[in-house]
Amino acid sequence: MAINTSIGMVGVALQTDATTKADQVKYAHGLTGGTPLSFDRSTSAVSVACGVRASTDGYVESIDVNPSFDTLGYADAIGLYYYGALGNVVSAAGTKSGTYKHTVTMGDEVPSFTVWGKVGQNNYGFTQGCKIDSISCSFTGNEPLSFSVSTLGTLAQFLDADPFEGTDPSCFDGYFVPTDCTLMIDTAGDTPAEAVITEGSIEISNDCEAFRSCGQVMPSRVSEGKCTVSPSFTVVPDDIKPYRKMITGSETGTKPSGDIVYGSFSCEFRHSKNADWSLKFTADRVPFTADFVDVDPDGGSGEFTFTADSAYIESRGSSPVTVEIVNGVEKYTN
Amino acid sequence: MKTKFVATEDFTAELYGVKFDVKKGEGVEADDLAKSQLVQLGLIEPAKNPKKED
Repeated sequence: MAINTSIGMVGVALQTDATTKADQVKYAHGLTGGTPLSFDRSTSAVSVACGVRASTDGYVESIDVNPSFDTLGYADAIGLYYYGALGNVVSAAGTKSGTYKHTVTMGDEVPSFTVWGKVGQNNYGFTQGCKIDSISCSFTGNEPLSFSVSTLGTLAQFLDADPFEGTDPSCFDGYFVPTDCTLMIDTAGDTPAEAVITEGSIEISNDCEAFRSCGQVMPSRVSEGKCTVSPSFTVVPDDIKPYRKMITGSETGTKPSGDIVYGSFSCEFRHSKNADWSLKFTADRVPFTADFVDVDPDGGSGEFTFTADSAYIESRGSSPVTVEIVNGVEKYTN
Repeated sequence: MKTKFVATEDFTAELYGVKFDVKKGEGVEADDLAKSQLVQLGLIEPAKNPKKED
């Protein structure tokens, strides 16, 4: 029997530190693609001339273990992933009974996870010491929100026993959707207003790097680097005011500004099965840029795609993006 | 001089590497950055009769 790739699952749990594997899966959920278990082995020939034209031997240069997968916005796991991407989390009771609100912002360090993967019926493994290298949330039309999670890990192993035994996957409990969402943007200023945004994405990257000691093929540590938050929103405006504002600093401005102009955004999404749960992204120091509308002889509505290489922070304690998740998870910290 | 802060509700947090697991009414010791976030979120406030300490 072949490996049935429609049978895939990922599990994740927070580690107590960078080197200690988590005991068991905390959140298990489905995938829309990717590789929850990955061994990227690099080999090299030993370069030696030995009287014949072919190499005689080789060695393993490295084995990188970087689980990366695409998934839907499962309310429990997604909070853990954003905590993993940014590093700070504050959890308290929500306004509705049985709900909890998690406010995730950028900290100095990001936590480590153990990631379990399953592909096919009885093929399992885990990767420990994983840090979130990047996570992106994309939305278009009324499709469920799509998330891509890339991690860098240290040690990985195959397993013979099912690590998901006894863990209910979140797949049956709904996910975050754009239906009746609130999408707001301000291309110059910190008071975003509702706009016709047809698609968008928000990516958080940590510029992670895995490094290994001599004699070790698998990484011994993963370290995070600079945090960048890159948003992109395609807007169909009534006029060019949002673009003019971005260029001049004011929607009535005439001269392009030599000073950097910061905009802001707020995107709040609902959950498909629980009206009390939500996912919200906000940022208020975003140097948007966009190409001007192209003329098209065939006509059609002009649109701008406002993007930024990275949102900035205003003070030492602020965050380039704030993620608020309201769900049924009491807390994410160990 | 430090102002004493107390929790306005139960909360847990990890802020800049420091973990919090606090019940409503308990005093909260935190550095300025963490304190600033918790105040902003309305989770801590200066104690009603703040004790000033050096």
